[in-house]
Amino acid sequence: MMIQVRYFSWVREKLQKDRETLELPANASRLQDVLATLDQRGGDYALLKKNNGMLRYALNYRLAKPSDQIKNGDEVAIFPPVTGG
Amino acid sequence: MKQKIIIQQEKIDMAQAYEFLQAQTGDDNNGALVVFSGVMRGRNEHGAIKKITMEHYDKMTETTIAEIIAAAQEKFLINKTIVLHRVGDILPHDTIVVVGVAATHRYDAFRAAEMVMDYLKSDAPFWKKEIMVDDNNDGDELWVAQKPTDQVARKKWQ
Repeated sequence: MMIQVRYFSWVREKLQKDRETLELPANASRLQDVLATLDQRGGDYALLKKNNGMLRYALNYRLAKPSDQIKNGDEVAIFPPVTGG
Repeated sequence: MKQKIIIQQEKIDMAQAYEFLQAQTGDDNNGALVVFSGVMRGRNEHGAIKKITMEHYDKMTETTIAEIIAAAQEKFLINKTIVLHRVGDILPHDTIVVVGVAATHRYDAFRAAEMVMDYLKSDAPFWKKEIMVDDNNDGDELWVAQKPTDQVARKKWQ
């Protein structure tokens, strides 16, 4: 399964990228599998697990939970709590 | 209900919000227009701010704000809503956001405008970074953290 991942705010800056295409293992089915796949890369991606209590996620442009189901072609976004207005 | 959502780099023109709200359409019988504007502060707890840069998740922003307006419409009798929000570089004293509501009565207009603003602060995908002008830290950059009170403000509408 291939998905698009988007990063915003300091997550984007620390990973030094705003998006990437990710190939997930065959048994991946939930947003948390995306996070696990990224975590396995180590290096800067360790920040995702380290900050998992405060990071927020979106799936196809709506706020989402790690337990939410994903499918091929989805867009997942990872970002800190929003600060507009 | 009529609504307008604009995400823009350019400075916000307050007259645009009033013109949209004042134009009576259809069966509208507006007796109350409430317009809130959020303005960039010139300093934070660390000192003077040179500017902020506002980032957003373009594909998510408008749909999120449209859902927020729909939630306010379910709770209050409102006829028109406008949300204008800046992105990119913003200077001290610039208007960052405008939330305007037209309703038949002021109670609904005041409350709906406050609710839309509270939800926007906690749900809409914008991120604000402050660039300081401090003598010792010129150009120091700081991503703003969400305030716990923003979540409290949102909860009061549930």
